[in-house]
Amino acid sequence: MNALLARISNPIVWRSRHHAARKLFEFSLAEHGSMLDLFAAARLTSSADRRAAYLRHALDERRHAAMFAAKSAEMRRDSGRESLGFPNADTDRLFERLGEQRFLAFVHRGETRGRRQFEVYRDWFADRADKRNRAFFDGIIRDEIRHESYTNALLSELAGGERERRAELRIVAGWEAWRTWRRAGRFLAERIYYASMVALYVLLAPFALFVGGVRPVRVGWCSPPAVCQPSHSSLRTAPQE
Amino acid sequence: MTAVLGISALYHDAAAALVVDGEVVAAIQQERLSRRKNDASLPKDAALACLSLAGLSATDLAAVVFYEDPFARLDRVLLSTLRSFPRAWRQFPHAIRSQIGSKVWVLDNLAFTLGISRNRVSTVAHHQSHAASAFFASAYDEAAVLTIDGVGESDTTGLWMGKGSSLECLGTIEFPHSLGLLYAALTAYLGFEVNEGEFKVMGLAAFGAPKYTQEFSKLIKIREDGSFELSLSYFAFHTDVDLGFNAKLEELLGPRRPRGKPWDLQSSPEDRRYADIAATLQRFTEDAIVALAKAAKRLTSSEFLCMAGGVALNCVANARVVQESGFKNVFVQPAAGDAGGALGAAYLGYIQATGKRPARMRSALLGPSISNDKARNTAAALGLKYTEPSDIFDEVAKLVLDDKIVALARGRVEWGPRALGSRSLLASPKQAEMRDRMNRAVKRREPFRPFAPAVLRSEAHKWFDHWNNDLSPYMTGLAIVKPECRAQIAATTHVDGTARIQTVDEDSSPDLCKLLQVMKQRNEAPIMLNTSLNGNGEPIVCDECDALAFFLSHPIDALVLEDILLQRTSS
Amino acid sequence: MSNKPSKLSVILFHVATVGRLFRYFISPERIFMIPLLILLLISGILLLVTGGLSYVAPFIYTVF
Repeated sequence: MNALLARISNPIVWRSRHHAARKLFEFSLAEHGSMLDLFAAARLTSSADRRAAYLRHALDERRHAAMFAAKSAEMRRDSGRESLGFPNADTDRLFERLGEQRFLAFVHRGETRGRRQFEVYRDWFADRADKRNRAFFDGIIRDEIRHESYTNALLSELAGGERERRAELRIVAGWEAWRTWRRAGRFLAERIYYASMVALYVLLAPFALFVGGVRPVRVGWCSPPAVCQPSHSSLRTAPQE
Repeated sequence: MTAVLGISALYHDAAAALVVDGEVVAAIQQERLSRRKNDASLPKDAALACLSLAGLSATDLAAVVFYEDPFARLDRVLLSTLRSFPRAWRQFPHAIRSQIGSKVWVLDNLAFTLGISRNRVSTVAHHQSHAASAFFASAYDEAAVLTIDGVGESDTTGLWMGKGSSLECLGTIEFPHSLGLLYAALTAYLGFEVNEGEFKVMGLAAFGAPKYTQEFSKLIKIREDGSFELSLSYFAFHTDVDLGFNAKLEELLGPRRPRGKPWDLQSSPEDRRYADIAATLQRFTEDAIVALAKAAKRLTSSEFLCMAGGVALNCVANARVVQESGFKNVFVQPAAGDAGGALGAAYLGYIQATGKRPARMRSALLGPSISNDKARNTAAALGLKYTEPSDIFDEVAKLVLDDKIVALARGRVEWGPRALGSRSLLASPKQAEMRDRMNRAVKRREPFRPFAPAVLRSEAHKWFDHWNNDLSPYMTGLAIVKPECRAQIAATTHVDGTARIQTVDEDSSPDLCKLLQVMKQRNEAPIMLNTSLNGNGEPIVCDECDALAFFLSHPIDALVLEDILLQRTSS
Repeated sequence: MSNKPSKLSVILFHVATVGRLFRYFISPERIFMIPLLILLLISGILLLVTGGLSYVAPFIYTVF
């Protein structure tokens, strides 16, 4: 589904350098977040072999995050804008929330989805004889294929068979669908929230009128706050503004 | 047993610190565990790690103390929203979402997260926690305390008197008059990230000259009583939290530097101009801090001064305070920023519970340690070959003398932003090329960034002047490299002849002490280049996984992981 | 660590916090902000709906 939407949205996403740079920075944030969750998995798993696998995966994600961020910065520079900075994503604490098996299922689905989406982008640039951007996405796809493969193998091993592996993937698919639904709802609610808050801000005008008299800005040394009990203070409160 | 957990969170550098029967038994910044730089989220991992290190569970805690009052903070946010009406309309939804969406419920969330009764969770004031983190960690029975940061609930600066187990506030300076926000605004002006770039601005300042004194005199005035006043018309703390300044400042100083643009101080006159602005900012900040310190001396007549708050990490300013303020000695606790608030909160909770003063901080090595077994297993699973030398310090000394870069991850993680020999990158300080290699290839950061020397305390006098104070064990001060020695430790001598020195002894950093002693035994100067073990934009390495990941992805020559040694050639 | 608290206990705790918040604001220098505070707490209900999920999440590459 993501790949289909990506195909449809390609002309919009890549036509504008500004939008493309922002999209790439969002990818770098997603990769950075993946890295954080994988480092957490490495720390929490009990198996040294899985720890090593998660660490190598985390390093790939870190490299991808840097690549996307650098590409975004390059596009921004070319259009005379400053970079969007370094990615510093939130973590979803996925390993803790899902447990190792389901975490692997989630990562596997994420890597598969990502790979398909990046293939669409790669093909888009290939059709336009843009070798550089095609090679960029090719490099990332190679890693995603490897990630898809090892997570699949580990999931089979932990789940204890093909049927169990499919069951885990189905459960995670359901969980992801619920989160996507909530994310869409949040998108709408956020817009309503911001519009309401801007309207509410207008209502602050009367409060703003007399705040200067009630709580003026104080300059210089001020009396200590109530929590502290001064036994002496030769500091004079500065004249009020 | 009285165990108190202190927590700082939600603004910068979340952390947890555990004081048990008056001793700091653990203190950890959340970013070290989450691997998210400057992680400000509720430090669940850090809190659990502290408890685990002490062998305790949350139900054993007498109290959990949060480092600031969320209601007082909300009061100030609402107030500054009203004061800046109608300019702050864009920021208003974000500010309210942040406060009402999460921050006012922090004490409830702490109780839920730790699984303890809400009655055991309390708060202290922000600057009070800073002051406590410095004074009670010091060895002073009595001292003046200065706390200087961006802003707490509503104070930006605090002056305190510490005596025994009591801490008394003598006065404050209120938002928006803030040295921390001034520095942050100019950090953003110079194209750096706020709360990360301030150290870079400090390093950049040495490459410029304070030529913009006339312009900066319009931005900040130092008053006769030692306080200061900002000209608020140049700043936008309320309305633009990313930049903190407005068009009027750009009219005064020229256009701001674009973010992410590579620096070229050799051939770009524009970049040299920005270095001059950094130098002027640094000069004015130092003058303001020295004025505050002199006021503290006048008011308290104390022999000693403690400092805390993010601005107290400005080691260049601290060196001037030592020289000029009249105090016999000055102490800055290594995690002087918001993370340190967790420690201060724990100290205050302990005093509240027992009435006794906690013990001073003897070492900053307060985080989790490395497991040899986990190191071996993970290295083997990654296909990395390692050895277990009988004398690891001798091996490391040999490598460093051979101009190799060695990562050292041994013992407990340091508390605070400086690596003090527990999670360090070590190299020879002799050649300037080592500094360039470290900046370019390993740390991947701006070329003007300096590196610090770690030196055996007993030998420091041979190489440095102005080092002998309570700042040097924790790298919170500055020394002057003797002119005749500068060429011999070129990699750790900054362009102005200074060095952010770390003096090393058995108590403060046992492993680094052993290493430097080995150097001395080999008739070499007991000095090493010591920089933090982390890549660009990453927190300092914490455990085996982080260290091995660093080794795999950065061109260093060797990694010491507790008792095992990995070398690049044999990997 | 701890069992997740029930929704009811979360609500009760937050109600108690709201009570403390109002007691804090009932002081001469803050009382004029109480109407504002009430409006903001009501808007907090919208925040309940918006909170939690981020758009840019790990392993999620947004399409648009």
